[in-house]
Amino acid sequence: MSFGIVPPFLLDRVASTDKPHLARAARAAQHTLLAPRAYRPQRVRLQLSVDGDALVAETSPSPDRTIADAHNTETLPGDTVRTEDQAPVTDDTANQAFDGLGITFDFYWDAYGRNSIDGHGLPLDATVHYGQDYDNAFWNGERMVFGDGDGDVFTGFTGSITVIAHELTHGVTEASGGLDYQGQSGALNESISDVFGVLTEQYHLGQTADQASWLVGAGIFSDHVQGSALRSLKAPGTAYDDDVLGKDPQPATMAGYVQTSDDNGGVHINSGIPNHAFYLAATAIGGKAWETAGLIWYKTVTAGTLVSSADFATFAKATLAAATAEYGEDAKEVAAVRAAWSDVGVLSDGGD
Amino acid sequence: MEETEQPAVTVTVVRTGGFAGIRREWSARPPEPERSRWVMLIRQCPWDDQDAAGPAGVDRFTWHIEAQLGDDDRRAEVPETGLHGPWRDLVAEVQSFEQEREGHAS
Repeated sequence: MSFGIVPPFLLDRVASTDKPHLARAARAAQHTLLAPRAYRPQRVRLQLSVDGDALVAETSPSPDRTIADAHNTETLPGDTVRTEDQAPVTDDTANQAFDGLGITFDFYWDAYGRNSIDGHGLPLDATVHYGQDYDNAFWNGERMVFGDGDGDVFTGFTGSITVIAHELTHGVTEASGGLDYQGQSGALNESISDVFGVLTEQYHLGQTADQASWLVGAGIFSDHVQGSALRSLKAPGTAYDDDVLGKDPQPATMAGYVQTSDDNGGVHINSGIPNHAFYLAATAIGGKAWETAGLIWYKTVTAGTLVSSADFATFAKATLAAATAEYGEDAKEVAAVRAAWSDVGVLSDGGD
Repeated sequence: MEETEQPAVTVTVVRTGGFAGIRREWSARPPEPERSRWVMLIRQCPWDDQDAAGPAGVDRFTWHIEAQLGDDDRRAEVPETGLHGPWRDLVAEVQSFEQEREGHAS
């Protein structure tokens, strides 16, 4: 059974009309009837308040989360352990994933009016306890997947909101047209996930740009590792320096751009450059970063005009265009974005 | 009957990518009594039939595996989703070899 705003019997009537002036409408109705329409109920939050004599009802979207447990196998999705209406379970990892998805959902809705990953209330699915000693978290195009870590280097991934929001943002980028996961476009894909990862945490903690740590993955290393986090937007290349892991290889500027065939052309390495540009823009503007620099980056990613093969310069110019459209040519926000890309060596002072 | 001595064996495994983007490397140079078992492990891997598909999804690992059997040098790049069967056995052996060596060293 399918549902739509126009009932099928009306579409039938319009589709079968032979009146010449309705020919276009008839074709449209026929097309609509042929298109598959899946019914997907969406959750909403209902808030009631009293304003004088009036009862005010406000609704907003609500997440629809399902957490599964892979029981340390690599079989997805695993067994469902918690759904949206269920109370916390005994497994802290499942609860952390559930809470992190909820915080990220709230961030995207409150900050940008985005209803879930696709903007249309897509359910948020995650699997925890994936694999044996699995040192990773990833987005597979359908769900977020979290390993437990090996205990020696990583202690798990669900405890960090930046990690959860990073993975979910890969879904947002993909739903917005995507960025090829190779070279500079791949590094932009990674950077966008880092940017909205840290912004989700800042939103959750109510931090301004100057109060934030700007770290991705703080707290996921074991005590054996000499490092505070995986990456730093504030100071790329300084997040860790460890006997086993080596030194954080991220450059902050184009002068340190790393040419490599590893890691899809260094997508997790050269992302340090756009990461730092965002940090510079956000701190120059000041205040809550998700409201200004974050809004500019969000509009750039979701405008639908960014080509999937975009390099750093293309993306930088797109952020300048988004900032100008939002704040006007002479605004301090535009100047801050221009200076940031210039400081990291992606654009010249003139913005070219 | 005299047994033929196996050539020197070196296996190096490098893992790149993943959410963390941290490069990890493990290697093994097994001593003579163990070499025939390692030669079998290496020969079981489909070196000439590598999965050409890229990593399935973002933030996945890529495994770079290199084995030297005397003068015979073999290399393969295996996406995380292709690391099963003999590839997985070989990688697990290299990792546990290094873990045991570190255990003895400490």
